[in-house]
Amino acid sequence: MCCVASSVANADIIHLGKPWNLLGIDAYQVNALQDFVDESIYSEPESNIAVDSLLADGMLVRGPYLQKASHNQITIRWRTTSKRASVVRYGTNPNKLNRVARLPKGARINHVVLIKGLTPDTRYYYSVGGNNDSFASSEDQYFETHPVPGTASPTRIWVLGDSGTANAKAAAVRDAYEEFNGGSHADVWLMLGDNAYNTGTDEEYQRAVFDMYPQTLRNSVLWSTLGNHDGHTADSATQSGPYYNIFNFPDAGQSGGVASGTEAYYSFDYGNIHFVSLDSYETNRSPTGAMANWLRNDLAATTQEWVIAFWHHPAYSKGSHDSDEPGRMTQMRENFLPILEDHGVDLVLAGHSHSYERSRLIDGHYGPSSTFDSSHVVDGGNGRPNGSGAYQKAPGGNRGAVYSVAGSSGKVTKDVGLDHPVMIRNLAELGSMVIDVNGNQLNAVFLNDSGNVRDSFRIVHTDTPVDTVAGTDGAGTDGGGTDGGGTDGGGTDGGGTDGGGTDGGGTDGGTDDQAVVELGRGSLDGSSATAPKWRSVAFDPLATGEHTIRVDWDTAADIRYSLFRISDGVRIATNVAAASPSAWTGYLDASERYRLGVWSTNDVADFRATIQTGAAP
Amino acid sequence: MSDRYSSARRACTAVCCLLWAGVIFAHSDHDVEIDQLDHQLEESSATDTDALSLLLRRADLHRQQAHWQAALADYRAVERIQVDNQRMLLGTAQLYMDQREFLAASQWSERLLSIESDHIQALLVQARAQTGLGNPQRATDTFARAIKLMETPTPEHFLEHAQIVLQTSKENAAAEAIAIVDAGASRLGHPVSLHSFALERELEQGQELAAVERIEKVLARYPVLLPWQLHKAELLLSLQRADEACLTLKNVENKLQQLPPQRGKSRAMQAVSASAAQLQLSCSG
Repeated sequence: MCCVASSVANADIIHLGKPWNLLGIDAYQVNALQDFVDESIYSEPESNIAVDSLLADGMLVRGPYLQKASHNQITIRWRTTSKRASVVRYGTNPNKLNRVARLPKGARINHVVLIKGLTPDTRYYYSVGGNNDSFASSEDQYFETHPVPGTASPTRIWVLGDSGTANAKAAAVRDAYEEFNGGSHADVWLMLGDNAYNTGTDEEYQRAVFDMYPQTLRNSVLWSTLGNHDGHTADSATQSGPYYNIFNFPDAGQSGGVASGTEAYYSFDYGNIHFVSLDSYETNRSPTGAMANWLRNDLAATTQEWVIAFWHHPAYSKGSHDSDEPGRMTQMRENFLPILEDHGVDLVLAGHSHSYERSRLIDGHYGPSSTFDSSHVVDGGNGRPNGSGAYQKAPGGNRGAVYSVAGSSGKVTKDVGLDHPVMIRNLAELGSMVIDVNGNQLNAVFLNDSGNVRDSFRIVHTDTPVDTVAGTDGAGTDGGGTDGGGTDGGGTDGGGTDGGGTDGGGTDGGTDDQAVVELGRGSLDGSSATAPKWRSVAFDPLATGEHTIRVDWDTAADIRYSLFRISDGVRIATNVAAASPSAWTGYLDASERYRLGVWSTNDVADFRATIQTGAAP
Repeated sequence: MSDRYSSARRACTAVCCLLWAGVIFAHSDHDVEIDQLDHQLEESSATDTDALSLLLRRADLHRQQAHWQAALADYRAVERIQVDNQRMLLGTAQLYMDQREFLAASQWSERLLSIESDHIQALLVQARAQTGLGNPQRATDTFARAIKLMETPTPEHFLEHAQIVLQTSKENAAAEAIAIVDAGASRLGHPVSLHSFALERELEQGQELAAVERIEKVLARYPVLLPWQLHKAELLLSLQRADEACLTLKNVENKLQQLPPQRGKSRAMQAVSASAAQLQLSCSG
């Protein structure tokens, strides 16, 4: 019989930490919480792997769960109530688990078994247990190896942020995703930190992760980044504490990418996607530190088409945490965004703020929010194919990235600003992100706890290179306009008017050269106690369908404008802009009357508001 | 708790919590937890083990927020209950280290080391304190001991140790620093950050051949690491090995063309391409 041992002989053995040879097979130990844990592989003839009896389910208190996968290896972990041998039986046929991987000796309660020599892009069914017994398995207990790096393969990514409340809210987010996903596995499952409140203890992890997602853990590989609450009991410097004991991440480039030498920050490949996980909490965040050095080299070495980075503390947020405050968020923005953007990062995910905030396609904004202007906007639209159009990223030059805060998978903080100017979509709602990458397209949605898609966007890689290198070519906000969904008022939106990612069903594209009609003009003074800060105008749309409202002003004032439907008082959109001009594109009904209010939050400005049918040219 | 900070915070909590509860909750998880600990401590006996752990937790939270006096008061309260509590001793040492009070940090870590001589975190604090006190040789010995005891050191540990060695007046400090990061590289799966540090030291020392050799080792592992290829070409040119340099530059050019457009045309790679083109002038000349 085959299989593992002979494959191992040819495998790329890259575990260089604490190696020793055992029966000619690569093995090494990892730190563990409650007892000594080995991680190893071993293979035996088929005749020796019979299961004599099934173990009682009650003896399995954690997992099994999947870690540190690649195209040819995976780590399977579980915990038992008492010390036992560690054996994984696996095979491509659920009724014939004809291969075995086991730790060569000893008994333990925390089991960590590494299986190498696997076939890429292949589903294996598995069971876990002891030498002659096993826990029951089923057809939905399987793992899939990654595609060969560089292979474009349809990939589903599930993203949870700050999910560790272990309560009904986290369960609702989970259930909404499971229904949305049709019960299948996630190819890549990301947790953005704060996975187990309040201090990331082993008991809290049991409740918030292992008891919350038992089914998903059996067939989806979980990757994480350290949150501040996880960090209360974990120490990145010594890679100790529950977080580091529970997870195994590739510290030596085992899953693609460059060796980081630590599980605190690492990278991995899935198909044509390169994922980067950074530690924004405990590791040195200076631009000359080891993590920044590693990141530069890791990104320089990747040949994957897509780059998705994630860490806990968001570079941009006006949610329950303000990224303008000095500290980790500012350091990540100032020191790591330039590296990521220079290497063409596509999407950056973070948590920490308990809300959903999603940016336009932006580039080169490393200062506080007040310094954001149109020079940082590559595409100011909403990124929706049926809205202002997908974000197009040409290779080279000022290409841009989308930044998303998705920290509301376990709780929501309401009554906060949610008005960071880079953001085009702000929601104080429970939910998670679902991202699908297929070839040169990335589609992302925010799925709330009721199963409604509340935001969506698409990034498309185009083939036409852009030769400009400077970062200020200013495709600007007037190219795509801002989202009809817009900012929905900091958490009070009950789902009313914006229709998430499926709105704008009217005249998509809007390339007709329609006449521009002036709605009004006037002077505002946001700095005065007596002069008018705001003005409004009522108007009737020219036709039913998509319209673009544009506001121009003549100073550096921060201008805010809202659009209301007069018949029921519903606010259609609120937009905040730090630089002129700013545009909103969305659906208006000719049978309705609307009111546009414009005000200055801080300065003197003369403004002019116009409307035209269709999208902005 | 008699320190000024705690009193002020409690007063504020009493007056403001109704108005600002949402904001406080939103903006400082630590404050919320400290409030919870306050209540729990008020309900617990001053000598029981629960109180001990609550005090330690609150002290650590205060320290993380740089509330030094509040943290110190809690550590002292722990000391009154259990004079040799290791977490208290370490927390106090770290607190003084955070404030750059190196002598006190050294004394408190020494107290812990007298109880447990192999306490890794105490050794690290001691080494850092000795560095601050201007005793790099003692610091490097202590740091070496700490790393040796660690099951899972990180690149940062080896880099810090090497930096401390560079502060000594030893004649061979650079070589020793390089040896430290090389040992770390072997132990940790060759993280590039350690090789980058060693490379810089080799170049500082004029050890260009060693630097080329190191670059080749890294490139054997990561052949697409084009900035390193470029660096190799620069070094070879300076070593008057133009043929090899030009071959390396040709390799850079080929690899750039093989990269997917989204990678090969990134700003970083465009900069590599521009530098390679500049160096290529030496080849055509």
